[in-house]
Amino acid sequence: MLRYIARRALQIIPTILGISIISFSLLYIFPGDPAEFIVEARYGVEPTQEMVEKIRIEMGLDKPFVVQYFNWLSKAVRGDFGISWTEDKTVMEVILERLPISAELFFATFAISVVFALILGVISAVHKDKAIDHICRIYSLLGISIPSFWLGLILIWIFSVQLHLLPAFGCCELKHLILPVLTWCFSFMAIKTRFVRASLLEELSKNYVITARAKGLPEKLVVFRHALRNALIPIITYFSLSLHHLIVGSIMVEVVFSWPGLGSLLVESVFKRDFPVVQALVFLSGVLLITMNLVVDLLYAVIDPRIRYGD
Amino acid sequence: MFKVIEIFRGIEIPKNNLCRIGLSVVLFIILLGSFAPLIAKDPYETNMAKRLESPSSEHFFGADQLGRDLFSRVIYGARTSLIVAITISAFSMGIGCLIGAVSGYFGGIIDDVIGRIIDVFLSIPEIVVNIALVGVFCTIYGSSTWNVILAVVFTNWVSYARITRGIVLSLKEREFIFCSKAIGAKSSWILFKHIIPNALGPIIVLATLNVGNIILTIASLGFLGLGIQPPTPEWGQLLNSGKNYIATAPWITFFPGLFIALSVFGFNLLGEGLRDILERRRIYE
Amino acid sequence: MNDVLVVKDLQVHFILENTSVKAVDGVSFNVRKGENLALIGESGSGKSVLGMTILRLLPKNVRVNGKILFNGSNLLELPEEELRKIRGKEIALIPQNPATSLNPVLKIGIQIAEPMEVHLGIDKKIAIQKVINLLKFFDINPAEKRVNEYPHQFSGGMKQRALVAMGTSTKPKLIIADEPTKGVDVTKKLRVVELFRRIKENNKLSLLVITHDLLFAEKLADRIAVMYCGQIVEVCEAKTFFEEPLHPYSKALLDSLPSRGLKPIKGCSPSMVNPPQGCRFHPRCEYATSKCLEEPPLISNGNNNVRCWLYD
Repeated sequence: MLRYIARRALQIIPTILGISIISFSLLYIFPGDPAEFIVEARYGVEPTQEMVEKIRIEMGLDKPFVVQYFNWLSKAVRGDFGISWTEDKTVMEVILERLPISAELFFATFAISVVFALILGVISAVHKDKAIDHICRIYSLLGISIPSFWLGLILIWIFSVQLHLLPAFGCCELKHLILPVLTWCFSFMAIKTRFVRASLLEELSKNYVITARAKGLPEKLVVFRHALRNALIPIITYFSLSLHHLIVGSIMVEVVFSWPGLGSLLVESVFKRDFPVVQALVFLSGVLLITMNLVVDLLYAVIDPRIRYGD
Repeated sequence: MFKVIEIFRGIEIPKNNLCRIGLSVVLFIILLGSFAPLIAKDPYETNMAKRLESPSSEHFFGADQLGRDLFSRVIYGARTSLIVAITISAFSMGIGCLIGAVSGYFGGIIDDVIGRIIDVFLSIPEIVVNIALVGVFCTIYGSSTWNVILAVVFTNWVSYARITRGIVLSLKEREFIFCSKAIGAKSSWILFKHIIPNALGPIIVLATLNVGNIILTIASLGFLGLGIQPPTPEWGQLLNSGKNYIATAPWITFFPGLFIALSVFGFNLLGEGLRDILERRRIYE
Repeated sequence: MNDVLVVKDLQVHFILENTSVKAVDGVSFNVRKGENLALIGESGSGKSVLGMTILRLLPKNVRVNGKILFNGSNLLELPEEELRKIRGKEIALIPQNPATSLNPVLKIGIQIAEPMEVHLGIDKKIAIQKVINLLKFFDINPAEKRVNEYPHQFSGGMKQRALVAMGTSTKPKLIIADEPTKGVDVTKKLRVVELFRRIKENNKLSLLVITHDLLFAEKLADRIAVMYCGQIVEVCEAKTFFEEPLHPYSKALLDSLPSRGLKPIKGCSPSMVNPPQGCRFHPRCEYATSKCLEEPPLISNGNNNVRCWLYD
């Protein structure tokens, strides 16, 4: 088991390196002189030769690409992404300020989506090809087709403009949370409902289900004790994988509702040309995704007896 | 073209509900885009007297903040979205299939390296990189539609590469390719006779779903103000300007969004339906 | 009433997009109390479908006609809930592939105990105790440890014995065993025969064995029913069948055994979508006459029934 963990952990290193190269290149291809830009953005003055030179040496911008990359990487793995170009803070401080705000939105959406996706997916699979199943399937296709920023605006129009029930934007009270969560859930849940349905149907077609029915078990036990228990293995995997949405998961929803999380930060930073922040967000979201993959693989080992006992 | 009809057992397409509805929606959007000049008025003509006018028999969808006819802008928007989405999809397909096929066909160290690169691209969140890249490109080249195309192709080719690589790898193991090699067939012959016909089905399914996704991505970028720039009408960008008038002129938001949803839904339905047919065919075989 | 199960003119048709496959087409037979009836036939002859139809375990795209009488009630018309009380209690099924027929994430003990909990209302702890005794009876040792293991920790033979234990746990009146020797090494086949003889030691039950394995049937069966292309062509005493079979197909089948000359049957199995007109075996039959273009009835010949014009 330990060897398995170690082997899987080693495997992700090249991928992380790849992501770091892509994120770093984003900054490197920046035209002109970043040092000049920084002086302008941070101090709001016409850059003098002296100041630019100082910053250039301070940030190591005078060194070749490879050297700069390794400098950046060695700091990045320790969580140091340098200093923001537009604010007098480190990139990490800027990100950590916004993280809890994103997390609030994400976990609320995640919790609600998981519960309802399970319920809808199971109902849909059990009543395969009946009316309720068709409704669930159409919903899951609509969920991935309807743009969340449009749905968000429509909800704002209904609940804020027309009914005056809920605020259109702002943060961080419960009433501010309702509309963004609802919007995000619509698409988030759709994909998951679909996955639950497919996984459960797959299990229901297997031979052990015939055995369970032949035993004369009530259909409830066949579905919940036998099929769903097996389907939960891929379902848990898939659900945990979506945790990577924690970092810049729903940019569009955050922007529509002016929710000051990491998604909004990304877009703001792009407009402000604060590329170290952009770079850090790209890198972190990639790393989180890979790490989630790893964690999920290990989780798999915990819940599936076949792997647990080293089959 | 005949090959495509054969792969999806042409006559099956109208029988499959998903395909039938999906294809109708897609054709509807394509026709709107193609015949935009016949259907719509000038989408660029401003008329401040009609600013934020509500929908009427003259302006079906109302007018926007500059008094332009929203109906015309939405119809011309279909043109923009389709052209850009299909361009992106075609570039991605070309690049992705080539890389995937090379990787799968030659194997060895080439495949190891390309496989790793594919892994890397699969683990970066697409939209995040798209936004970041468009931002960088804008700084370098100024705003242009090519920024959007380049930025999306940069992340989008990978799904084509992965699927092509998988197909080529699995075909390489199958007997009939081995037999072709045994009787001394040239690589190009194997490619055209075996690999392309087998890969075509899954790639068409992927491309159909992909066009839908790209339309959504373009609209998202447009909504953020990073996509195709005004005055060229584009659905996401129309929504972006509409959001400021949500209280007074909700139609500016409503209609473009409806068309985004409709076209993405159409491509998704069609893709799903084609996949159903392909899977059922595999079961029969 | 000397019969446990009576099947009358059973038809099972799978409905596909534009065709239907007649997997079982007009089958009648009976299973007597306490006997071992072997239903034999080549793969694809519809025999496994027949077994599954008895407990109504087939997918939804089938159309079933006819009667299956058990204890006087027609299983095909019983409400789902009534039928459920018969499944695993009165009629048990020992499924075809032991490797995939057990739930991979549930402990063996729990799975074997389920029929007793559901049908006999036995408390879980007591049921597990009974499972341990059953495991001992079927040589799955050490039973106290094995009861808490998962299917992947069992060998193929052990999985089959576990499934047999599960089937017998409620002392059913009829056990349907679907291809019990499928995928079993020749060297281990005798152990399967042994296993099925042991089932009958303490129970007065009837056994319907569905198999393509003639040698296995010979060792175990009292009577034989031969299935060909969705129909039963011969039902007779096992002894008669192996000594002087009636139907030309039975003869051909026996001649194809290694010990009897390994003679292949000419031609190939007909399609179930468009079966041959008249006697379904006539295109491959050595004795075929023009009369065979008409469908032969099931003709009584002493104790035996045969579907062939030769005995008219």
